[in-house]
Amino acid sequence: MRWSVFFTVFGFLIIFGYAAVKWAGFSYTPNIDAQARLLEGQTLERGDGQPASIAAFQGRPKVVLFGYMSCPDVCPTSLAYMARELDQLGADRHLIQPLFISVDPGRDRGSRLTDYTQHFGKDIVGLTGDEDALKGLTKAMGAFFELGPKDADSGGYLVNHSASFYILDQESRLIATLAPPHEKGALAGLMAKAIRARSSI
Amino acid sequence: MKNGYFKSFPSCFGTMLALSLTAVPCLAREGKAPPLKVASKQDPGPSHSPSKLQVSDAWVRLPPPGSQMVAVYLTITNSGSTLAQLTGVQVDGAMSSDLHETSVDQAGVSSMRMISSLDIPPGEAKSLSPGGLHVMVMGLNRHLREGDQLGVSLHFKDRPALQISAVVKP
Repeated sequence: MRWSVFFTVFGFLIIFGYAAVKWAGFSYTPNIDAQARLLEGQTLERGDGQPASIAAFQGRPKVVLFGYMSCPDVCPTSLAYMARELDQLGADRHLIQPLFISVDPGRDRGSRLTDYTQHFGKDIVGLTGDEDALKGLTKAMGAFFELGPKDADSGGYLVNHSASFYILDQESRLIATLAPPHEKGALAGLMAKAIRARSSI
Repeated sequence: MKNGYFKSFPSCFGTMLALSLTAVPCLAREGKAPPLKVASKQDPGPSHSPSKLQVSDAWVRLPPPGSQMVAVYLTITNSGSTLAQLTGVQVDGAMSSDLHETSVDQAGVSSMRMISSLDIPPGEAKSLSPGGLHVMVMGLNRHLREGDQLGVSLHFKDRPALQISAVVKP
């Protein structure tokens, strides 16, 4: 009977200790770097069909948004928000690379993707890729996407996807995420921090 | 008794945790209630119908090039004494339009589901706005530019339909 007390307390201490270590932010640097390498290793493509990867944007921090072009509400809203936040950075906006990654290559491949992202900002690069590359990329960032069932009549489908912004540093390490609701100035603040961190190295 | 208490403590705690987790989706839903909006006086052509429903702030987000989907947002205020139920929306020149609701779960994943009917209780307003309720319009037969007006018909249960005009904004 005394053992049950012991195990409950011991178990609680283990869980509490683990949570405390996680909260304090002790994480192995190799993990972050491994994730960054996984991220950079995914071959994507630009709207003009040229292969690309996150690695191509090394040397600058990046702000990533996942979505798809047939999204009527969240994606245009988030892209419009990102555009306004980039405006807030003023001249510094060229020090960070905004990326919109479509998780719907079936419909979003090609120059349409470039036209779509450029509508919100000339410096926003649109990328997409094969399902494997997208799965690898989203997994490395802690993001998620899922294509819904096709409508029998129209052939259309919805896509569930993470609606957060992901900030990567110049080495493609994930340093911040911004989940909805997206407050005015919040993304600009994170982007400014990422830019400052780069210049201090 | 003391021994018995500790024996059942883990199961008590586990049950408590499980019960509190079921409350989370309910709490998440609570936070999603759209704010009460008062009908603005400057909106283009508000409809004063005998059913005491007012539509205001109707706008269409300027669709980016290549986008087949368009979103329409608006606010419906029910200043009457009976429940109003929005059952359908028709947009001029569109193949189909349905009411949808965006929601973001605890993991930050957004999804949309179609809403077949929207209740607007007496004395309340329901706001269709970015990130929440919206009219999803598919297969619009024309190219929209900023400043264009788009005709929208709102259909209600046991009430006459309302015809309004939504302005295209970026």
